[in-house]
Amino acid sequence: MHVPGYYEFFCPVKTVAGYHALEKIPQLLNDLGAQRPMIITDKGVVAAGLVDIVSAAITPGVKIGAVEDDVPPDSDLTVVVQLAAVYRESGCDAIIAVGGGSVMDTAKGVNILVSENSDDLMQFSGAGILARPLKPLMAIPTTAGTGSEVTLVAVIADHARNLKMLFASYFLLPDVAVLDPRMTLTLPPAITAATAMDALTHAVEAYTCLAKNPLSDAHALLAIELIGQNLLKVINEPENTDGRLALAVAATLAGVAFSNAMVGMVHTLGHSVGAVCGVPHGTCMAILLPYGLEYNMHKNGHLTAQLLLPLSGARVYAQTPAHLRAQHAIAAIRQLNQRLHQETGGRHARFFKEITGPNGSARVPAESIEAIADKALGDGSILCNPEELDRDDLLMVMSHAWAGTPLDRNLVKKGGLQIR
Amino acid sequence: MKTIVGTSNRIVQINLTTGQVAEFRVDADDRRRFLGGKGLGLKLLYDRMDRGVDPLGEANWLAFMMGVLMGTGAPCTGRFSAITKSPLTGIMLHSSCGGPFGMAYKTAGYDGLLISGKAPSPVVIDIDENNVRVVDGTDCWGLDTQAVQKQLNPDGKAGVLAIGPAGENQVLIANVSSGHRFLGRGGMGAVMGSKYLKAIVARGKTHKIVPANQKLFNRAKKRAAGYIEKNPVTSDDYRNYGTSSHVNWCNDGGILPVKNFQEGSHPQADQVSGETMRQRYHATPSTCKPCSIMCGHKGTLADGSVHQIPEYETVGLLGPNLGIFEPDTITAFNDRCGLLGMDTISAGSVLAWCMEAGEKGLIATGLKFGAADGIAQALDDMATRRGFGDEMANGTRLLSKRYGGADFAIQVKGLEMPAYDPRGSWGQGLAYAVANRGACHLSATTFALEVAFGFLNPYTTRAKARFVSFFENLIAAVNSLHTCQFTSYAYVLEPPIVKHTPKFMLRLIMQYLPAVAIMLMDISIYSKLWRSVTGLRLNQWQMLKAGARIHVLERTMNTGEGISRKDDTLPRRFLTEGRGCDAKKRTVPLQPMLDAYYRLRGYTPHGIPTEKTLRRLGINPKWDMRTDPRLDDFKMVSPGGKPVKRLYLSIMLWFMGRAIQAAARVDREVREAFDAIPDGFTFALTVAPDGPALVVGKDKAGKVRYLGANTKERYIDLKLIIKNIEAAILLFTFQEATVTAVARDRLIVDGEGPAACTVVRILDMVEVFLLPKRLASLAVRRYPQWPPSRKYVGRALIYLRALVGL
Repeated sequence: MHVPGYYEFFCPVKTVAGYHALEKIPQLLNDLGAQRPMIITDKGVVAAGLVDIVSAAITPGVKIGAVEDDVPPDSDLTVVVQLAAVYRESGCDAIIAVGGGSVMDTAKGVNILVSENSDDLMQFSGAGILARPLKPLMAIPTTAGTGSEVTLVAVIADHARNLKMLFASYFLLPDVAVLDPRMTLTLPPAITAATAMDALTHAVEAYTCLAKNPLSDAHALLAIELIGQNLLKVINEPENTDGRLALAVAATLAGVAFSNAMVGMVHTLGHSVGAVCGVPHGTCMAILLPYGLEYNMHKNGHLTAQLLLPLSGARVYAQTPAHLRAQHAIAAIRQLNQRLHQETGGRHARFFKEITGPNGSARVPAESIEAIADKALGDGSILCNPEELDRDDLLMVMSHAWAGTPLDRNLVKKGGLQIR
Repeated sequence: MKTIVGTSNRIVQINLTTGQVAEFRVDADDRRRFLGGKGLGLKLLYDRMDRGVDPLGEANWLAFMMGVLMGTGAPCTGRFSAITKSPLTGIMLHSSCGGPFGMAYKTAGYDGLLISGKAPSPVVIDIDENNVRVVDGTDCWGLDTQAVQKQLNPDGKAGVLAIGPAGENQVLIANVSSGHRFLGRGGMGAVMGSKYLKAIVARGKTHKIVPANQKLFNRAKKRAAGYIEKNPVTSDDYRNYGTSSHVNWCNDGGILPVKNFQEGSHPQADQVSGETMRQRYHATPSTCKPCSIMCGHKGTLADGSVHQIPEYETVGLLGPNLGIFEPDTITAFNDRCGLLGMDTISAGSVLAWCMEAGEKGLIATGLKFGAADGIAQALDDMATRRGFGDEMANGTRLLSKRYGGADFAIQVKGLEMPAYDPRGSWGQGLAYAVANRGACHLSATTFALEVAFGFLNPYTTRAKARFVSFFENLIAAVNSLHTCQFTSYAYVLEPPIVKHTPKFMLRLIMQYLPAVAIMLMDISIYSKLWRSVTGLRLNQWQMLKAGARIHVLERTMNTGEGISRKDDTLPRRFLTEGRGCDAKKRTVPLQPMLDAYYRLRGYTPHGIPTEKTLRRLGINPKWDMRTDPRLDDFKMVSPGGKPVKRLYLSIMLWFMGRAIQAAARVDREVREAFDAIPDGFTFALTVAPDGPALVVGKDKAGKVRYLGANTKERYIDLKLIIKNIEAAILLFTFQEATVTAVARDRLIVDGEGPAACTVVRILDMVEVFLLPKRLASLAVRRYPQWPPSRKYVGRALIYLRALVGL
């Protein structure tokens, strides 16, 4: 067990998980002193019939003030302002966010505006700017991945001024996260795979990067175990509610872990590929995760080795000699990607070269790798990666991840600073 | 005419409930220990009063004490003291007044008058050399302060002390008048009103006071008069322009109250300055007697009527603080307050609070900043407790308790603040916070040292605690002798050692060696005057110790009423909001000054005098000194400030800042990293909450500059904040790498992600340049493989440039 000399951990989110969890919402709202919630969601969630399920579950006890499904896939400032106006006009007193990461971020943004009674989101941008508790916010995730229901950040894009505003405050944490298997039951296999790999990456990076601590470790290990045991099962039997619930809980656990322990280079590069080429986040994570572990292995190999147990189970762990466990853990992740690739009929990508756009063209052309590396140099998560990364390092990792070839670990430049 | 050598030492004691009159004398020991005036009055009340008595009840005492110097002909000694428990603040109140009552009472052959109880109907006390009579005062009840004085003293030969309608109605900010001068603050008039005591008439001029040591007295008096004539403040500023000569330098220094202390200065301020009013009103002296400073003036308005020209505090609080810059209007308000018998400072502050509260929608009075309409009516309503005036009569503390808006209720311990904004005079901020009677500018007048004379930098906490406690001691003594406080300008600044030391030397010594500066001050003229009159031995140091004794005794009495550190504070406005005139938006850093002050005073960190302090000063505690017994369970720790660590970090950050600037000129890779940052971008590495810092910016032309250690001067795009000084020490003694500090939540990055990453990368490179490999590899994740030419040549050039500052 790695115990740093000093660390901080915080997670006050009440988590309500299990069958019929949605039916508890009226009681939960009542506990928060709210009567008239506004539901924020997106069109995809509505089309999947999930909002109807939520409404049906809560309307016996609660009058819904408004249902807004205008959230675009990438959270947007104008939408946040519009939704805040709807909230005020309909006299709402709480927010229920039903959806994935972008819906959660939008809901957090709306909550800032309606609680501070302002129309200028910019003035609250930054770390620790908010000074008092916001209105009640309830999060119902519909993907088992982002963990936004337990994170204290929100990213909202101002497309007019072409910038992304980051908000970080303990007050942004939702009051309640509701995990109900019905919410992820209809998720298509490819998206299930990508989002679960997103959650796995959160947990793995939280466990192997600089800001790890015993409390985040406990969350991370259990998240990895739940994904390791349930992901393939759910891909094969999408109707397996137990498996769905396990993945949802895993995503929340991973969310708690990484929001307290930060993430490293997998996210550094993953964010950049997403920004430059528009590849979905979960796909980037799945492809890059083995490379991140390989690159850092001289620093955190002993930690990666420990991940073989939750990933592959006790039998494999016991059969593997100690000095090979780290490599086997990485191999297990590659293998998981390979299996997901097969089970989803090739929709789950294993490396960037094989991702194609709607018209068959490459989504990540080889020429974009330089731009990705430049972008990655400015991503904050680079600070918590165990090993230093300069532009050349990023290019090297990225070109291997593009082609799908393993990293030559002899070429990695090794620094002296250990994880302490 | 009879002659008194020294003092008569006769003190009269009247119980208005029973009508009993007694007379007693004070022994020489108490006279030496408490000097007279304020000190002796406090001591007599301390012996007589229990804590917790109702200030407006029968058990409250009221003392009028004439000092030792009065009647001897020493300069500026026409002043007397009054002491009671204030209904406005609930704690002890001392006030000094220069009206004719004092001299009349003293020359009737008395030193003091103590009053307790409560008369059944309005009375007037009439005193001459043989008789003390309590007579019916029903026919005076209801008269204003001038009319009642006229009625009781038609020939002007006696001295009268009287209250107006405000005092009768127990308005908590009511004052007491004598002639056209006042016992102004804290509601002394309400105490008289509560006792049904309309006035006191003293018929004097029957005794002559002669000093015990005439030769010494003459010598001291001559020197004193000489100093007053030579000092520019006493012989020019005050004599010609009165206390309103403060207006212009207060305005320049940003400490003039404008719109309820929101601004700090105003372009129209000169319209109400002493200089302008002198010209406008053809001012002539109208002062206490005897006086050789002659700060009081009267003047003639355009309509030919003659009025007292308002003093500075009145001008400030009833003028700019209400947004009014018209001298005639202020004079009219001043007259009105005078006739009603109401404190102009508190009244102005209440009006300003009502105006701001109106703007914020807390109350609706119709009063508005900048508008004179309704103010005269509001003053009348206050004095007669009519309508909303009944609430206003209770002062800003109670008003804000009832309606909200405590943050801009400009009062300390219930007493409204005079016209010096502490944000431009931090020592005055401390003085206001700890002054015994509440926000009082006369307890320790550091504003003059900070803003008028420039001896102390107003914007540092350095040396402030020491000067505040020194002036408290000195002024407590001056108010006990008793002479005018303004003499201290002359008596402190004119003796040769101060007069002939170059000003920059004075500044240096006062700021950096304040204890030495105080040791070298010659204020023996005060002790010599007292010694020559009484014939008792007393030197300058004994006198200052007596001042300390008096001040701490008053604090002790207040402690009994529950006063402690929690009350030694300033309105929130001064602690959190900058002034309108101050681009830097500075506020008063009160807590560190308070810690230093308590240490000097010998109080506990809770602000309560320790047993040792009381023993040293010879004060017998009458009650348990703890304000709250639970405090025993908590030891208050005041942080030491960690000077060595701060100094180390300041030097490291200073050098680091210059090295960053140098590296950007010397090394290509550092320059390229800076190229990625937009022009005009500024970043800072700071130690929270107020530790050392470095600020580096790229100017408009793209040139990288080290911009010093001040983070408040400009907008900072990116802040790397180290959570506390210990974390900074870990970082800068290379026990923890930068990224480890980030991972452990000790280094918080506040700003855009890309720039933050670039700045961390630049810091890493600069560390590699500055530090030998062994140290640098502890600070960065991966020690880079640079060619020796880059590393060593770069290192030499960066050190060179950083040291010479290129």
